[in-house]
Parts: sequence; structure tokens; C-alpha cells
Amino acid sequence: MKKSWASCRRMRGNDMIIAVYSGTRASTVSRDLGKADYSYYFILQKYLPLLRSLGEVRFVDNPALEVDEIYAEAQAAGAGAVFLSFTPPHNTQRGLRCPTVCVMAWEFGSIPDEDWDSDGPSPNWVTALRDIGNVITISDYATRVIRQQVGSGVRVVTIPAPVDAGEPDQPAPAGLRGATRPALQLAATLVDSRQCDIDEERVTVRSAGADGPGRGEVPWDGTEVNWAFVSKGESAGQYLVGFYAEEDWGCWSRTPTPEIILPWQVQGDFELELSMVGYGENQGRTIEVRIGDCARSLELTGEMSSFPLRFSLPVGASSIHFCGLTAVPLPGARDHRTLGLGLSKLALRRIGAEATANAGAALPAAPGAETGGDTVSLQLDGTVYTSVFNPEDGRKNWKDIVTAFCWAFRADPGKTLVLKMSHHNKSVFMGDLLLLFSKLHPFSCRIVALHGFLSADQLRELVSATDYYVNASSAEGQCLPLLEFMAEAVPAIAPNHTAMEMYINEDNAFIVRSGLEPQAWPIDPRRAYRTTTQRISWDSLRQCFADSAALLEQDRARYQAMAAAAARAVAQNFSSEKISRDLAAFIGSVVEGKRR
Amino acid sequence: MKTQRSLLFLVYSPLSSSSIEHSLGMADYSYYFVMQRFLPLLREFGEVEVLERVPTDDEVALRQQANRCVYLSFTPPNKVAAISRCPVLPVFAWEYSTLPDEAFSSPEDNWVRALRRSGNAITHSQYSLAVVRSQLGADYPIESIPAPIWDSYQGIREMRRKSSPRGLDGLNLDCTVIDSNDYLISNTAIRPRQDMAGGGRRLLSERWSGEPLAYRFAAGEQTPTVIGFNDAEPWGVWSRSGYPWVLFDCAIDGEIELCVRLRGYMQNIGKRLRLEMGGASADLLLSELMQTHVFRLSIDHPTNVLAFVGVVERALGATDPRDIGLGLAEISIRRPALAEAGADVAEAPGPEAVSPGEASPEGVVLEIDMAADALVCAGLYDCEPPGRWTSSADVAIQLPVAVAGNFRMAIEVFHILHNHGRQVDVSLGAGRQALTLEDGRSLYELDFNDIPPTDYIAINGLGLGPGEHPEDPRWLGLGIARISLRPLLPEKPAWNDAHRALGLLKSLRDWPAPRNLARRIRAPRSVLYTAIFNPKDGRKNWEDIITGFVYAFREDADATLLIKITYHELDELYGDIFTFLIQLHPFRCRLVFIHGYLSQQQYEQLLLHSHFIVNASRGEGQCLPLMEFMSAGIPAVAPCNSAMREYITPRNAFIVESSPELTFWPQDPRQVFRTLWQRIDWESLVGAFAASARLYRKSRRRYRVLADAAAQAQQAYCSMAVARSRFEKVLGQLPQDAGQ
Repeated sequence: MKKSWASCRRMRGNDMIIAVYSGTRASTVSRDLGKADYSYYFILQKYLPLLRSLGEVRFVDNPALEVDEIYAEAQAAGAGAVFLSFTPPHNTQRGLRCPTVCVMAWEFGSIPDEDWDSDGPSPNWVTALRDIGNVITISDYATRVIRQQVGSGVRVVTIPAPVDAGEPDQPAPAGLRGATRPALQLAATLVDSRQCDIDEERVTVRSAGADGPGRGEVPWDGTEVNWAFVSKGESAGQYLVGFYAEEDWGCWSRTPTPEIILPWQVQGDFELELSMVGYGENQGRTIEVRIGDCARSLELTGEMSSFPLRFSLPVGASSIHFCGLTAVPLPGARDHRTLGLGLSKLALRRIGAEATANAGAALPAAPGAETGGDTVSLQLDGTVYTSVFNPEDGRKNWKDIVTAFCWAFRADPGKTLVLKMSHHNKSVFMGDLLLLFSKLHPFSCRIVALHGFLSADQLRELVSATDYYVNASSAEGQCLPLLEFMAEAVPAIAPNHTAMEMYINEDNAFIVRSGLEPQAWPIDPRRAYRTTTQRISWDSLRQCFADSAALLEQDRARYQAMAAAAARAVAQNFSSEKISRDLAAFIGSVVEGKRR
Repeated sequence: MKTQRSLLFLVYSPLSSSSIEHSLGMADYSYYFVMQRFLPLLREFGEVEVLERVPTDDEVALRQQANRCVYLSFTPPNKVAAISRCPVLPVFAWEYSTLPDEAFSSPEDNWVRALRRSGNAITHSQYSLAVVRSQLGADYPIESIPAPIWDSYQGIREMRRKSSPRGLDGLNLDCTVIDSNDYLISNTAIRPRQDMAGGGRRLLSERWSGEPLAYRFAAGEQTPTVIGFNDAEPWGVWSRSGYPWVLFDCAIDGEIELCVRLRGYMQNIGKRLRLEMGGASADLLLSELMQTHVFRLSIDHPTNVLAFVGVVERALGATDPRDIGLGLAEISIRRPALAEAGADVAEAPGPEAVSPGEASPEGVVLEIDMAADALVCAGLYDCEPPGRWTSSADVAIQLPVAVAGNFRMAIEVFHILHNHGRQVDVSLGAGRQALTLEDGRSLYELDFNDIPPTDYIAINGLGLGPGEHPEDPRWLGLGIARISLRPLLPEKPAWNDAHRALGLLKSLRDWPAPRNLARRIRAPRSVLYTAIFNPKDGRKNWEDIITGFVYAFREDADATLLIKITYHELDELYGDIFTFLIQLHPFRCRLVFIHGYLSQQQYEQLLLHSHFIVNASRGEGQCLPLMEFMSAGIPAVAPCNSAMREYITPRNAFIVESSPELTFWPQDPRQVFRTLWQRIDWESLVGAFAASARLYRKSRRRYRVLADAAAQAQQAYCSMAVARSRFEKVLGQLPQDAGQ
């Protein structure tokens, strides 16, 4: 009683309680980075300051139990209450007394409108949204798609996450200043094509950054290593080149000459223990495991077996090569993957007396390792293109970005593509990039991949070092990174489909052409073809690279106009001020609607 | 001194007529077809000798004495034999933006080097000609000669002009047919449809000739296609659980004798298995040992499917990790009349050949003497003087012959022992009756009506306990002396006919009203798209063709896409095909996949019936099927890239948009990016499907204009006249005295 009274006093007049829920919490976001539903968390984070100006925000952990209590409390105090659930519709709590708004992202041609066997709640979003009654989407595209399917009984409104330009003292993008850039200091892992020895068969990473001892030059400290190449495993900085994404047991090799790149050099006498299985014709085949000049042979079998291999290396080396495999496709399989060997574990240990725990303890940790606090220095020059994405998100088409960039600027060392990858496990994705380097060899342009969670300052530095932001996605719910760069007057190369139709146009971007392609709903385990997404034109992307570079060189005035238009488009549609107004109006109408 | 010697063309391609049927889809197989098409052209200019293997210089020299030789190698340039005694002409197709100009595994990989060595070449498109010249110089002697096929489609062109293509109507194909209409499809499973009664459906497979079919399913044997089975073993093949089925290459109907030899596995032993064929069915009991079951079936609706229904449960706790349902060893099918007439089919016809078995079963009583008859059974002890004791709660007895229809079953027991007052289930195949056993009663009679063919009796739910004699340690249930089955006359003998008449009436009612009929005649709705390719060839892009077709015609039951698969192992593609059907469900349009080497006459049927030929390739060297169909006057749905750029125009085709995409040379194992092919714009493919059907249905006149334009475009591209003049030029440029 006492508590309600206190609350009541706090919420006089137009006061309101806003209950919010999202599956991901601050404590888990670093781990969930790049996983399904994490974008809902980001929408919530972006909304929060605005919501706090509208009422009292209460985080709930269990909507079924907590939300209606909050509602009752608000009612008792004569205040309004609303529940914003930052979740997909089928995971949004239904049947609450408290007016509920589903805040969702969507980027495909239709929302799920049927049921299938699922462990959780019914996946029919149309039914769910009709029950919930109020939807906030973050793009006009999603609003249009949903309105078409749910009919007029559901309030659907577009309120994107707000994106504001930084402080006025934020340096203008490099392209605008035409000045040399200061070196970036980033707490991230780097892979830089300029620091790699590349040929058509393999890649050797010479150094992680421009300064200091790079990865592959630092010796292994002798601490025993035990790696499991599984989908939930933590990466210690090793890269798998020529492998498929890790599965729960390990991962399959894809190319005839896969490779494991170590985060440091191995030398002297040591034992390498690999757990491997052969696929198809590779069963019973003798393959070679090579480190530096030293090779060991072994015979793969149809069962996962452990192979302890002793090496004695006079000269240090930092990668493990597999030779003699044949990459054969799975007969009759839908995806026609070529499979060679399956790798599940790797152990590395010193042999002999020096195998003590403190061997090499005084040596610095490899800069490539995930040490978090360490920063690496990145000096960018020439024309810089940046793209930020989660490589596991198949919509991003990051390989198209890399190949089109490379084909546009094959012989031009003055062009750089910066890929900021966000994912919890980078070993396969960095490996994929290194494999692409091999396949694209020879090229003179520069490709730099960053992996890590950049601080706001570091991100700002990256933005101001960028001339163009690149997006080649097949679908976008909103695309915050693109908006954040555009807000700082970075023009874009991007398609103008799905959410991007709201802000990508000829004035602020080089538009990548695209057309529809068939797609299953991402939440549908049957993978049934029910909806559409976009297929981009690779050639158009390549042309955008070429045209944008030409523009920067030949027509600086037009570039500046594009940059200004980019900032304007974001300011007009995504400023906190506008979003705040829209939120206030919609939440107000939801609360009022319920009262009436 | 020079003598006027005649020309001799030495011609080689890596495959021969004897190997091609089994080599479809293998590396370089299309070179054989191109070579065949070039032979008539070559014969106009000289003699032709088709070589079975790569010639040597000595062999060439021998022929040079009498003739002036030219060696035409229908192979990729890197596989051209090094002949120095006569001019060498590689004849090759290419569809990428660059030729391989580096050695990735051996020096021969470098086509630029190989072409420089041969010094001459023939390719099939201006596109590849330009690619070659961009890398070997603008004066490199190369000519584009598409396979001269246009002239040979004169007859079909005329037939198509006289009578319009009819789509699937009247089309029968002597090959394996997978027709989406023949399956019950959901988003998680697929099984053959057996309720063929509805809608006057017609099977695309050819009718079974009646020649007995006999298959053993042991590894290495030639068998019909099996779906839902594991790999074959020396004895036969294990099915997986679910809905396994067998796909025959012909449509079977009428009276047949079906003989299957199979067994159950783990959980499925003792379970009823239903065999389904075109609405007819038979029930058997799966046993632990391999057993032969023979049934007489009357199949009203032709079918090419024999399905096994009821093996749903996956065996649990088995040491074998595979999913196993039943084991299949043999299937044979024959006409019963022929069977009873003896082995010699020639003597079979004639009414006198009708056997006693063919006569109505009235009066023929099936008796099983449990005390004496040797039985295939489970849950019973061996014969004893009064009969047999049951040894389990469940008893199964396989009948010596299969039965069907109405029967009175009589069960005579000699001891009721532990079953006094107990109610048990008695089954005759699919028929099931409850029976209460009573003390002092030895004869029980049960009537079974309309029993589908079956060959077993089962009794379930029996009690069991120690015997009455202390010296007999066995646990005993019921003592059975005798079981008999006496056929009953059906209560309504005309029922079947009445049923059929009703069915006919129903189909009559389904006829379109006259008004509709008239409209249909004026504006035919049925439209048939045909595509011919090897799905394993990634350039062909069948995912886009199939998904694009279904997205364009999801609700349109009158649209059909027929895909002729030119890959030798259909088995490797079932997974893909059925996954497409499952993931694309629901759709009303029809997807038909055919597989097998079609005879010339059958291939012509395809040309006569098709409305549009479809292609969505990332690149084509010339594309024989597209050229053939367009030559016959069939408009295309196709992209305007690579070689197709020369003949695909908006006047003769619905153009599928495409744009360059980075890729690697197909023969480069390193897969390094060195060249471009085309990325298809799927949305435009859907649009092209929709627009083409609209045009065909709306205006026959405009369709004809397109069709004529298609033939004309091919005349300009691949007529003999074009080939002749270009080949003349090639010969004129050849060094006169090479190797002399």
C-alpha cells in the first residue's frame, strides 16, 4: 500500500510508466553480438533516452508476471502505463491488460502468416499482431508489408531508432577535408592485406598492425593450447582458412588445401594433436600436415580420430597446412558442398624439459589475441570505403563487397576497404576473408578487416577516416551503421530497397541495383519458400565503387553536396527530436485508446 | 609437284555413340552432340572419318598419302592432340569473359598457349570469338560456326505452323517421370499420391506393355528407382522409415499379379504393411525373415508408383545407426493370365488360357490344418496331434495364397486354456473383428467384408500361462486345430460397377459449362514450358528456374514446367527435386522432371508440344537445346548474355535480365577469381514467365509472330548456309601444306 502511494505521488498528471522488455540484456550483449534478436536490443538502447523523457521506464525480466502488476500500480496511481516489447511478435507476451506495443524489425516481402510445428509459441505473426494490436516498426517498408497482411484493426506505425549527428566539433569526413588522416587507435584484431603474403594457394599473415611486432612474428609462449573448433567455442585468435562455419562437433574443410593460421609462431620441438575425420574419398587417403618446412603424413578414416604429430622446426612458422585432400561434394545433397576433412580439436604442447608452464612467460601476448584493452594502430590513406556488419548474417553479402571492390580497384593501391566485423567468433570468418585474398590475388588495393567491439570514440575516429560507407545487403531492417556514418556526412554506396528506401537516394548515395529473389522466413525451420528478399547486382556494385572513386577525384563539389545530403537525410528522418515526437504521439494514443 | 587430293576430315570427340547414353552430364559430353551436328557440314566439303581415339602423327601421315587431311578436335583446346602432319582445328565452346591464360596444374591448362599452338580454331559464338581475339590478337584465325541445326527442323517448324502446340495434352514420354501432381506434398514431407481418381488425371509415363517385370534389389542390379531407401546391399535394400516407394519407368494398370519379397526390421516386425498401387492396395504382415508375398491387384488408375505404407516408426535401440524400416529383395509384376498360361508368352492369348484361378473364388475354401500344414507363422509352437498352441500374445499366420473380398472365417480350437472369457482381435489383412473366447465352445465364425488383397491372419491379445502338464515347461495360450476361409457372395454384387458409374457421372458434372467450353477453345489456358539441362552444371541455375516458375504460377494449375534432366545419375538428384517440391509447397502449377535418353521421335514430341523453351544460364557456349527449340519455332524465356546475345531478342523471347559477376574458370581447382559470368535477375525471370503466359493466352497471333521470329533468328545463327560459308572461309585460310 505504502509503495503504491509513493509511486502515485511520483506519477501525477501526465506521468506514465513504460515497461520495456527485450530478450538480450546489457550483461549479455557482448556475447550475443551478431546473434539472432540482438538488433532488438539495439533498438531498445536507442529508444531509451527518448522513452525516459516520456515517462518512467521499468525493465522487466518476465513480462507475463511483471507487466500487469506495473499496470495495476499505474492505474491505482491514476497514471498511464504501456508495455513496449522489443521482441518478434510470436515472442511478445499476449493477453495482458496493459496496452502492449510490439517493437519489431522486418525486412522481407511478407511476415509469417501460418503455423508450423514449433517448440515455442505459434509462429503466426499475423495472428500475434492482431492480438497485440499495436506495432512499431523501424522502417516504412516493414509498416507497408505488415499493414497489407494484418488489416485495419492493428495500429502499425514507423518509428525508426533515432540517429543523431555527433558533436559539432566532430571532424568532418576525410573526403571533405582532403587532409591526411591521423592513425586510428583501435582495440581490435586486424587483418590487413598489406600485411599478408598472398598467392593463389595460401595466405601468410605477416603482421597484425602497421606498428610493433605483428601476429605470426611473436613466438608461442609454450603454454599448452587446446582448441575446439565448435560453433560456440571462443576464438583464441587462430583463423581457419578454407573451412565451413563451425558446427556443434567441429568444422568441415571446403578447399583441397585448407589451412589453420596461428596467432603466433611455433618453433623447436613440439607435439601437434589434431582430431580429424575424413569425408568420402578422403577416407583411407594419406594426407600431409605441413608446418613450415616440416611435413607429417597421416591416414584419415571415416571416424573421428586423434593424430598426435611431432614436429621439430628449426625456423619458426605460423600456419598449419593440409595437403593431399580431395574436396568432393556430398552426393545428392542440396547444398552440394565440397567436403574434405572434419576437424574438431587441436592441441599444441612442448616436448621435453623446456615444456614448463613459465616458458616464454616474459614474452608479450600476441597482439592478435583477444586481449580487449590492447590497441592496435591503423594508418589509412587514399580513398577509404568502410562497411560494418556481422559476417554470419547472410543478408550482408560481404563477399560481394570484397570482390566488387577488388575488381574495381585491382591495380590501385590508393583504395582501401575497411571491414568492421562484429561476431562472437571470428576464426572462420577471418579465415574466409584470407581465402578470398588468395582467390583475388593479385590485387594492389588494400583490404583491412577489424574485429572487436569499438568504443564510441574509436567508432567516431573510423567514421571520420571514411570517404564512403558501403552496404550491399539483400535486406535491411534499418541499418544503424549506415545511418550513423551518413549522419556524419559520409555518402553511401547502397541499394535503395527495404528500410533503405527511406533514406538512400541519388542525392546522397551511389545506388546498387537489385531485384527480388525467393526467400524463406528466417524463423521458419521448414525453410519453405514463402517470401522474397533482394538479389543485388554485383556488376552494379562494382560500378558504384568505380564511379564513387571517380567522383571524389574529379568533382569534389558534388561529393560535398552528397555528403551534406547524407547528413540531411538522417537529420530529417531520424533525429532524436523527430523520433521523440513520434514516440510520444503513438504511445499517447495507445494509452488513451486503452482508457477509452 | 602438287596433286589435287580430296579432303579428309579426321574428327574426334571424347565420347562416342556407344558411351553417350551413360555419359550424359559428364565432363565434355556436349562436345559429342556438337560433333554430330557438324558431320553433315563436313561431308559437304570432303570425306569424314570419325576417330574412336586421339590420332597419332603416324596415323595422320598414312591418310595424308591419299588425302589432304584436316584434324577437327571437338574438345577443349587444352585437350587437342599434338598433330604436326596436318592442320589442326580445335572446335570448342566458351562462355566466360576470359580464356584460361595460366597454368594451374599443368602447362596445358593455358588455353591461350594451346590456341597459339593450333594456330586456328572454330568456336560457336561471336562472344567467344571476341574473347579469343582479345587475348590472342585481333588477327587470330578463328571463326564462329554454331552447330548447323536449323535446316533439320524444317519438318517440325511446318508441323507446328499447321497445328498449334498442345502442351501436355497427348504427350507421352518413355522415360522416368517425376510429376508434382503425382505426389502428396507438405512443407515437411512428400509421398506418392494414390488417390488418382480425382480430376481425370493422366499419367505422363508410357503404358506398361504387359511384358513381365522382375527386379532384384541387390547392389549392382538394374532396378527401378527407389526413394526412401538406404544404399543397396548384396541381398537387397533396407528402406528408411516413413514412406518409401518404388518408381517404375512405365504406368501400370489393369489386373496384375504383384510379387514382393521383403522382411521387417526391429519395431516393424509383426506390423501390418500396406502396398499401394494406383488406388489398389494389399496388406501383409512384416516378418523377421525374408518372405515372398503374391497378390492379385486390379489397378483402375495407371500408376508408376508402388508405395509401402505403415513403416512409420524409426527403430530405436538398434546398433545399426541407419534409419531402417523394411528390407526389400525382389519385386515382380506380370499379367495373371499370362502367368497361368505358362512361360511361353506367344501361346498365351485366347480365352482358353484363362486359368481356374481367374474364375470367381466362390466355392474355393481355404483350409489350414494346424496339426499338419507347414506354415509361415509367428507366435505358434510346432504342429502337435490336435493342432498348434499359441506361444505369444500375438499370432500371425501367412496364408498359402492371397485372398480378397468377403469371407467367413471359421476358427476351431482344441483348448481354450488361459483364454476363457477373453476378448481378442482377429484380423484378416485390413479387416479386424473382436472375438470373445468361451469355455466349452470350440468353433467360432467371423464374417469379413470387402477385404483388400491380403495374405495373413493375425490374432492379437491372447492370454498366456503354464500348461496343464507339469512335464511340459512351455507357456501356452490357445490351442488352435483348424482355420478356414469360405468366400461369401457379396451382398451387393453390383456395388463396384455402381461406384464406377457414379464416378463417371461426377466427372461428367465436372465438364465446363458450354459457355466456358467455348471460351476455352478460343483462349487455351494450358501452357507448357520446357527446359533441358544438366542440373549439376552450376551455370544452368535450375534453382532460379524452378523457384521463379512457382512464384510466377503458384495459383495457376494450367501452367507446367517440364525439365528434361541430362545427367546420367538421377539418383543423385532426387534429394534436390523433392526438396524443391517440399520447400515450394503449396503450389497449383505443375513441375514435371523427366530423365532418360529420349528417342528422336519422342524428342520431337517434346518440340511439338512445348509452348516456350526456358533458359536462365549464367553463360552459354551456344546452347543446343535452345537452338533446337527456337529453330522449331518455339519462343524462349532466356537471358541475352554470352552466345545467346546473338539470337535472343525481344522479338523472339521474353528476356531474363542478367549482369556480370566475378567467378573462376570451371576447370581451375584453385577457384581463383579470373573471369566473369552472369548473375541472373530472378525478378525479371518471374516477370518473363508471367508475361509469356499472358501473351500466349491472350493472343495466338502474337505468339505466332514470336515463334516465327525465333525460327528466323536461328536461321541467321545456325543454318547450314551460314555454317557453309564460314567453314569455306576457314578452309581457305588453312595452311595448304602443313606438315608436308
